[in-house]
Amino acid sequence: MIWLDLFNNWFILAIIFLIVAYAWIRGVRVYEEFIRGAKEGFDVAVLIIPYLVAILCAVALFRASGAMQVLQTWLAPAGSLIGMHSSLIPLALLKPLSGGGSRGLMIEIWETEGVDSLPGFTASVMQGSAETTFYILAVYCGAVAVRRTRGVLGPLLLGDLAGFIAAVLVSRWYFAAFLD
Amino acid sequence: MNHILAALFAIGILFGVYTGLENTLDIGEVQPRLEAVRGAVTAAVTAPTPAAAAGHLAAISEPLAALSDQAARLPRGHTERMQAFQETLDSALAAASASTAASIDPALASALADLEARWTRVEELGPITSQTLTVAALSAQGKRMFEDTTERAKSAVLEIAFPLIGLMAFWLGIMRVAEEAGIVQALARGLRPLFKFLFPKVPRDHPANGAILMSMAANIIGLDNAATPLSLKAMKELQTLNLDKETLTDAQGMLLTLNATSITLVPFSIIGYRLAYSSQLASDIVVPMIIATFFSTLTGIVLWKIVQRMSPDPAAGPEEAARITAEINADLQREAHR
Repeated sequence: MIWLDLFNNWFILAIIFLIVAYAWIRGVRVYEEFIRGAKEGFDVAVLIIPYLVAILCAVALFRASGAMQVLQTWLAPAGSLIGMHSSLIPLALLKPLSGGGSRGLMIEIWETEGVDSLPGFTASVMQGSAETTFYILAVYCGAVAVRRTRGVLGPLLLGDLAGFIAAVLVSRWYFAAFLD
Repeated sequence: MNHILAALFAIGILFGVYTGLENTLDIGEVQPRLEAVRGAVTAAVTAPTPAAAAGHLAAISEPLAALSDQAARLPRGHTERMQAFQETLDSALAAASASTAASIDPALASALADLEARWTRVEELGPITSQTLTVAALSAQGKRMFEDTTERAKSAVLEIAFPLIGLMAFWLGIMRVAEEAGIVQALARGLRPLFKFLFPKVPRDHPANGAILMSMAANIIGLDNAATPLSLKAMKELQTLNLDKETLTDAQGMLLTLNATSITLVPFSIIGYRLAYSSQLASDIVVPMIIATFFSTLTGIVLWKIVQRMSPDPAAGPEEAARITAEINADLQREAHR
């Protein structure tokens, strides 16, 4: 485990070093090119602000409304059909809406159910196999000032759903076959 | 986007009202407890000895605890009446705990005096009715929703956009260096067949290919803070092929799908968290996660390929795309020579 940590901490650093070193050897003016690339960053970060605020505020309102709690009770029977632990349903609902919120929920599941329990394991798999869909939609479209999304949210959310179902089923199988 | 935003607001408001009503305390439950507390408080305040007063208060510990539990769900200081009610409950709880500590505790005497004053105030303000309770709960819910929403507007800028300025600058700088050294182009050549399927309308020599490749690479190695800057760069490159500029192209939607359904292969950050929680199975999540990711990404790609057919793609056709690409590359050449 300590090796993994070591690898993790040096891996990205090594990639950055290799890129810069290779470019320098090949005669690229690394400083000037870095600056030229970096200049683009500012505009994009500022451009996305209106899009971020619009979507993230709507999501915040939705979360604060308590709709999640109601949805959760409706979805519990459907979840138990595939053997989904009840604590995982709020995680599946929150994941597309909030990155920080779902990470907090995952840790809460670890604390109540145990990090190496089936729910704790499945929560980690779910957390790793999906992204914060609404945030990505806001930021990506914001960066190019695109307003009409042609219904792309449907495939994104259904993709998340497929991933969650797969995460629950695969974790159950993997856990029973190799770890239990 | 308009429909999604309107739906989120409408559902939010609707469920907000529902949750508010749901959180309303039942007057039928509150009233008897309130009566019990009222009786015991009056008896305790007029009791001849501190010990007797303590006895009265000890007898109401159960309704008191239940009331305070219920009151905790209400807003602090929403109306004068509710505030007085809640302060009285706090005071009664303090008196009850003082009474169990020691029967002749001087704290009990002052707690009782405090309680008496507060109770008189509650009586003056009028009775707690079911209407009071409903209004209080609804108000609390509205306040929470408004505060959360405006708080998010602030944090979207301070916690997402501002840090992104620095991260974008750093990673786009590194990417530029990698591009100039020819690393990106070499990798892009190897993945040409895959790109041809996913982004059929992007010419092979368009700079978007390199940006998409870099964003995919950052995603695959679980480099979260580089993935967003590099993907945004890819979105911008794809925008050069967008004739409409305000409508998502097929290629941009595909990039969105690949990123949102996550193609991470090594989730360093989650493994790190698991290690921190002393998991014995920290990295065992990798295989199930890759399988789950495979399903989510595949579903996303297939569905987007279907959904994109339902509306016209604003991207340039093959000839136009080739012309735009030639222009961009000529510009880049000129810039490099300067």
